[in-house]
Amino acid sequence: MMEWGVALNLVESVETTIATSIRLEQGGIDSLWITDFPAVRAAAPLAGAVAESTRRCRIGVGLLSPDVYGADMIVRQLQTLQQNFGERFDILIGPGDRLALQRIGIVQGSGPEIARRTKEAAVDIRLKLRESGFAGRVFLGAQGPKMIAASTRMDGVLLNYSDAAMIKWAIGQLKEIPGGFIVGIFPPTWLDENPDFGETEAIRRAASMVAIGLAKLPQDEFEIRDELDAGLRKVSETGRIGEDVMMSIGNSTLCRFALCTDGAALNSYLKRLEKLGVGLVVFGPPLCTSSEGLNILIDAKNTSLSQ
Amino acid sequence: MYRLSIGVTTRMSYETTNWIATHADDLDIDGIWIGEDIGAGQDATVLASSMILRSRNVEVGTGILPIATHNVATIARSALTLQEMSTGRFVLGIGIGGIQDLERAGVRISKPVSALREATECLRALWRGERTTAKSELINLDRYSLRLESPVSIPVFFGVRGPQMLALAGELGDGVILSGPFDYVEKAIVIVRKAARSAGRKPIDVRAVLWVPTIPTFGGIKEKTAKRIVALVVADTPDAVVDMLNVDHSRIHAIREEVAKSGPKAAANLVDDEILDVFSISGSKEHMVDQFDALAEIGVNEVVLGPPFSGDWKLALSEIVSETRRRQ
Repeated sequence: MMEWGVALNLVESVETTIATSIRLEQGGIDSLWITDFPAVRAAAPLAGAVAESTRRCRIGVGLLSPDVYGADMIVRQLQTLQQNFGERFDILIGPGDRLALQRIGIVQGSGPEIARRTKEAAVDIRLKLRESGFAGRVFLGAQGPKMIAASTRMDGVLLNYSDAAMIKWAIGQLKEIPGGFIVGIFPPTWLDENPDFGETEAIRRAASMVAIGLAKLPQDEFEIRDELDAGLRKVSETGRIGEDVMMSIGNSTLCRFALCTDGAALNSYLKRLEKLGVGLVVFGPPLCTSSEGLNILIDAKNTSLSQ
Repeated sequence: MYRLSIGVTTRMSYETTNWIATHADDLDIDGIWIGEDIGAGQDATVLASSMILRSRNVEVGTGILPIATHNVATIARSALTLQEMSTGRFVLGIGIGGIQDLERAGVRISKPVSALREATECLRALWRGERTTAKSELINLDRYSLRLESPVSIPVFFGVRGPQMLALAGELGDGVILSGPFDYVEKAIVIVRKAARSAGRKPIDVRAVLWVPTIPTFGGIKEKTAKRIVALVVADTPDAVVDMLNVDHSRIHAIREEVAKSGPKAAANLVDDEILDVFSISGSKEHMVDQFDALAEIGVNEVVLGPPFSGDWKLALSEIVSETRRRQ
């Protein structure tokens, strides 16, 4: 059965995140993912508070970037969480948001260099966690073909894709999938009774952040290089993702990088993904900021269980 | 009346830190301070969250998080998280870090006083909700903001030792975490208070916290263990502190050299009763509380009962706190 997760912690207060966690656990959601930078609150201590307020659900920490914390500190964070709050934690490792990291003085270098460093750190983190008796799953966040291929050395991958065709392509990059390996996706998500991607700025912005980071190979594969190049030029001028960037890429391309739908369509979408081999969906920001969206998700989960 | 707290370090076992967290309220202490052993043991911010969640009323603080080994944005975000989680019981202690820890981590800071000033100013700007740009030896922020709806106030304490750092604490800090012998502490508090007055502040607005190794000999702790710990404390005491002490400096240097050459176990042989008494608070509970009272007389507002915790340390801690409260 597919695992349903929700990413929490964007700009919300600790109190809000804890209240949402309790509500989602009671609503049957399987895992809660506490995002980190550029989220305002720090994931590791917040994950402890979420664990203390919930009983059953798994708690994912991250995406944690080794460029922010270093591999050893990430290992200590997860070890300390398990020691103090029990064996419900998983971790997502990835390079992080390049533009946002520049704002706090972390300059990551070229794409291949970032990928190489992140892969090495992820392998190191998983090894040290296993040696220390960490019981959780270690996921790699991946979008480009090299990162996707490298993820098979982890317990699972969270693909930064939403579009079914793109997900199928990404799964193809895995080549041989080890036994027990979990293929997951982490789409920016907006759920509404009357979804309108073009009119919802928060989901367009989240989709832009994913689209802008797409590697050249999938850009060509999906014939969207021109649109993304236009957006990238705007980003290099301003250093940020604003309306001008979103306009340059265009909604018809952007909407492929996010899940913006209603409850009924959500379940049919997930059934398609299940057939592709997806075992985990983490519904990403900005869903966690929408009370109505979370209600729709909980209803959809209950519907899926009754089918 | 002075406050009484317990100090733990990240290198301590979960069993020890969890016992302290879950018994903090019943012990009737005022706070828990968490010292980060750089690169070792539990993660300081996760440990702080556990301490906050397992206690009800005590203040929980970092004592300290070294600014050289954490991005300032991460410190700002972690402190905000812990402050919200604790509904106002969290205190951020920052500093440069212990000499030996930093050397092991390969960290060198050319202008530590400026670095601590800049870090503090950045943190407060971020908590005021400002879009902040700053570039210095340790900081590189470019229009970074915490996207706060309203400003937050998080007390910042400085774990510092040298005269310039102490003056900075008096000028900018909500408190200062001191560590060192009685002679030093007396002089340090004078520097802090004087700097506070010069900055137009009330000296009492800067809380003076003293973290000392407490060695309750009535709790079954072995003298050898106590001397080994004190040898390490001596080795980590900077010249700026040693210069303020009325002890034979050659003995201090001999202990330092022996720690560097053969380790603290061997150096323990050079620690006599006088050195033990200068660098720690030890003895019977009555004698220890006498010393706390004397420290309060010279301006200490909070005493932190620091490690080593060995022997029947749980009972010893409980009895020391009871004796202190009885007198208060």
